[in-house]
Formats: sequence, C-alpha cells, structure tokens
Amino acid sequence: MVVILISLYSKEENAEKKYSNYGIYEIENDLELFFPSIVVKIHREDENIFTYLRKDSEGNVIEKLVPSYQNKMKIEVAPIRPLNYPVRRTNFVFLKLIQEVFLSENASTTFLVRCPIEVGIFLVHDTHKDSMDWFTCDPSSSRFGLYGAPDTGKLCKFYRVPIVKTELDSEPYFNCVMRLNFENLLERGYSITKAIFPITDHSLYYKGNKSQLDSLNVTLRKRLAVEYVETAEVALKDIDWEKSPSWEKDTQTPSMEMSLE
Amino acid sequence: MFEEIFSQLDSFSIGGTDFSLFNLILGGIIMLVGFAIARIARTVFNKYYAPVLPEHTAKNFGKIIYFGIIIISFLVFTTSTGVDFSGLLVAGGILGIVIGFATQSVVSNLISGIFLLIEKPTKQGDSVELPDSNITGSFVDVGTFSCRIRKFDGTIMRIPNEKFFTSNIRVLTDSPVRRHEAKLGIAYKEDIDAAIHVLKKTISSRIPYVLHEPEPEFRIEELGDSSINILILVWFPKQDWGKVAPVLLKIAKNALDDAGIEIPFPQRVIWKGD
Repeated sequence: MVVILISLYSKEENAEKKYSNYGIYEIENDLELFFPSIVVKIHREDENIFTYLRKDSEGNVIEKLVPSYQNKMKIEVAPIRPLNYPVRRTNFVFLKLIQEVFLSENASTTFLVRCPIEVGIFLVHDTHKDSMDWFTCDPSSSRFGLYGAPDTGKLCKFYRVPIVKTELDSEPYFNCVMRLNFENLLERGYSITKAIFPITDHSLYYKGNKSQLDSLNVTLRKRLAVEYVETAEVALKDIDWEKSPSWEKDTQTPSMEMSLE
Repeated sequence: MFEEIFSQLDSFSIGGTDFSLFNLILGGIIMLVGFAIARIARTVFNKYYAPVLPEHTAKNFGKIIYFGIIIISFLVFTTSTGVDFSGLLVAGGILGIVIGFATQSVVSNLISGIFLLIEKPTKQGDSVELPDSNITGSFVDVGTFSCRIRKFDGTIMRIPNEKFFTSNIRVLTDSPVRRHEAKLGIAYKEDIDAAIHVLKKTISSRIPYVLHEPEPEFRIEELGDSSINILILVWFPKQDWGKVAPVLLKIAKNALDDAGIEIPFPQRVIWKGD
C-alpha cells in the first residue's frame, strides 16, 4: 500500500497551489491527482486490475480494487452537488446570503453567488459513467439547516455564501458559481436573505478547475392576499463548459411506511 | 366420463346443501390452482414491481393480489359446483355469535389493526416510544393481530394491536429534525460567555450532524450549589440521534478542558463558629 502524507491547507493557500483539473483521465499504469488536503492515487495492480486509493489529511483512507477489461482505465473527475457529506439526507440546499439584497417593488436583479460542491470520481466505460467515489475538500463548511418549523419544515444542506462578480469567481474544488435571477412583482420592497431550492434539478458544469451551476429564477408574486415565491431552474446554454455526470441519482433510497404483514 | 363416474358416487348433505365427491374434488382442484396462481402472481409482483414501489405500498399490493386471487378462486368454486352456502350461513349464525364472544380479544385486535392501518400513527422504520409500556424501538409492522417493534437491543417486541392502538405513542422520527438536550456545569469563577463561545465553536466544528440553522442554543438553566449549569440544545436530522447524543457531552467536556474552563465538583463551605 502506498502511504501518502499531505498537510491541510487553508483555502487561500490552496488557491496558490497546483492541483489537478477536472476532466477525463486515461490511466495506463499510474495516476496521482492532488486536491486540497486530499490525494487520489490509481495504480495498475495486475493486468486487469487497478487499485484506487484516496487519502485525506486526517489519515482516512479509501481503497478500492477496480477490475478493468480494457488495456486502460478511464476516469472523470467532476464537481457534483454538495449533498453527500456527512451523509445523504436531503435534496435541498439552503444558501444564506452573507450580504442581504434589498429589491424594491416591481424591480428585478441578477447576482452571482458561490454554491459549495463536492468532487466526484466517475469510471468511464463506453458511454457509461459509473459513480466510483466522492469527497469534499471542505468538510467543515458542509452542515445541515432547517427551513421552516421543526415538524413541517424542510431539512437542507446549509451554507453561508457570498455574492461574487463573475462566473469565474469560484474557489476550485470548494464551490461553484450560481446565477440567481430575482424579480419582485410585489407592491413593496423585499429583503432577500436566503435561497432554498432542490439542487437535484440543477446541473453542474466545469472548465479547468472552475465550475458553474444552472441558474435559478426567483419571482416574488402576490395572488389575492397571499404573497408567495415562485422558483424555476434555468439550464445554462451556449457555454463551452463540460457538463458533470450526476452522482446523486444513483444513491436514492425509497421511503418506507406502515403496512399490513 | 369422469363426471359421470364421480356423479354416481354417494352424495351427502350438510345444512340442506348437497355435496358430491365430484364437487369436492373439483372444488379442491380449483382452490389449489387458485393458491398456486396467487403465489406465482405475488412472487412475480414482489420480484419485478415491488422494488420500485415504497415498501408499504408494495406489501399492501402484494396482499391484495394474493388474497384477491384466492377469493376469486373461491367464488369460481362455489359457482361452478353449484354449492349454495346460504344454508351453511344460517346454520353457522348462532355458532358465529358463540365464537365471537369467545374470541372477543382476537376480534378486537383484528379491528384495531384495521384502524391502525387507516390512522397510520407511525410508519415502518420509524423510531417510536410507548411511554406507558416503557418500550422504545423501531416500528416493524402491523400484523393481523399484533404490531412488532424492534427494540434497540435487537429483540422484537410483539404488542397486541388493541394495546398499541390505545397506547400513547411518541414517534421520534416523524419530523425531519430532532432536538437533543445536555447539561453541564462550569465553576462560578469562569466567564460564562467565554465558555459558551468555546462550546458553540467546538460543537459546530466537531459534530457535522448538528444543524447550523437553527443554531445550537445555550441556556443558563440554574445557578446551582457548586456550578453554573448550562443547558445545551442542538438540532440534528431525525435519523442521526446516534451520531449526536452519545458524543455531545464528551465533546463539550473536552472543549472546556482544552480551554482551561473548570467543571467543578460539588462543594460545601463549612463555617466554624467561635
């Protein structure tokens, strides 16, 4: 077994270091991928067997044997939705804006926010991309939050996020950039402090080590006496970024209820 | 030809209804075929369709298919053999009343089971507590006469449906989140705000299952005999009690130790009079 030691860097330090890019890698014998506080090593063990090893800064090691019926092994490293750490419990994300946005009546605005991501490793064969492994480079920020009352609310992954200026302002391997389009059709101004949405409706895209998430349209409306928020996912179009494979759909679990035995 | 042979065999009468050997054999064959078809249909359903349905729906559909085919087989049997059961029903009426009184608790459990299915006070897999019976565990299912709860020590507790139906039931995993409370004391000489800051920072960073919205809450519960008692309240996803509650006090204690904040022993000051 190969033992790899790597120190834990802060986000600022990581920005200056050279890490592996997202993308497809073909492995003939050996490959090393470096991410913030995480190393992935793939090694040809035998003619048809590769060893996959991931080690983080706390010494946790994941090791897998991957049989391959081709001469090469092909993997894709891509950003995935931030739903798996510490455990998969929800499809919703709760983004609490660090800076509040005030939208006056009948106004609309667009701004970009950082949305956390995790990193997925996919085994590529023929036309399929199988989910092989995932990890987060920022476990300390990955927490749960509740939107609503404890009995009727929605459990979400909770993140405090800043507003950024361009689509390229994501921190590699930590977060992506997401466009929020707000429209206020109410007859009064409204302070926007958070966005809660099912992130499984959104796709991720990557280029180099930057990533983006599909946009979200948020419309504040009033019908009779009720004010409500309408949200819709908007797929990114006409961009030359690669679309990430989806990890989450393979790990859904059915719900269980009472029945007669 | 077989019909002619069997029809010549002796027939007999029960409650005014004539039975022949041929009728009984034909009925037996119909019922056997019905049972076989019901089993095959249920197996096919369980294998190919049930995995994509929610577990409770799959189980109920499986039972509807199984018992539905058996009932249809029975109806085919009665109509094809010309057996009239009305005489039997009249004859069995009085017997039914007698049996009904004798099996009151059985019927009560059966009816309670149906009501439990209608009301659905809990779902399969939920963690439940019956405070009156001091039973806590994971709800397994409602049976014909009893419910089953898998206690956290792995044993199965069978509870009659009637008792379960009339019990107070505390469902621990019905809401998406739960709250856990823990209490610890710090010495009077310590800075309360500093202690709370240390606890908050450590709990948030060390236990990823603790919700950040709502944030962990810290209340000064009591100015005790020896210590200022702080009540820690944290929320977590309903499934993750085991990841939070057993470690909360250990992490809080270690955090205070690392910060040099004293957790005092009970103390008594004795004044000696002159």
